[in-house]
Amino acid sequence: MADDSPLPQPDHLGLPAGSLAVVPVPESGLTLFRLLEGETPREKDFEPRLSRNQARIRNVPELFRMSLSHWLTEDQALAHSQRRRTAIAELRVLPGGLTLVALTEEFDEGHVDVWGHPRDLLDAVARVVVRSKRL
Amino acid sequence: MFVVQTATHADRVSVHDTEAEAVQAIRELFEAGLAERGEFNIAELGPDRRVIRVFGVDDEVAPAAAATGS
Repeated sequence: MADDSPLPQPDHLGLPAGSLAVVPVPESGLTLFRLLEGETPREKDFEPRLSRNQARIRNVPELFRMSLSHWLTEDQALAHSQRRRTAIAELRVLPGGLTLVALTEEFDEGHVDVWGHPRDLLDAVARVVVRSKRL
Repeated sequence: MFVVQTATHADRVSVHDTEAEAVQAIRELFEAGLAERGEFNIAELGPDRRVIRVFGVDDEVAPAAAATGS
């Protein structure tokens, strides 16, 4: 990630490898992209879906069980879809709320973990685009 | 790098060095009764940290369910 990243990177903060920099939304706000189930965004698109038992068997820490995958660009989000037609929400998340974010792109460019109330995240959806790709 | 993710929203589940390890991770979820067909897939990422492909493994890890359509 370039130095113009909107979010702090743990290695730039002098934190040990594997550390996570969970921060509030920057004062300038943050634009994020998330894959949706359908063309109409719903609260359930922003609910953590991994069960405790699924997380346990896969060694997923509770912190990450509760986070949601978003990306910094629409194309980065689209790349993770297996569908022929994919609905992608563009969120404009404002500062001052309860939402927390962490840049977690050590092996996935633009990946951001997000912790927030589903209603708040749904309210942050500015638009939905439907993209097609050849499978 | 191979990322096991939820198929609908691509929420990250686990990260693996090899495809076989990622497939095994989903197989273990199925064998534990903790996965449904179509719930998880795998994203392969290159050294540039970009997605190379996304693929499902349901027919490989849940053949019985595939045969019955359940």
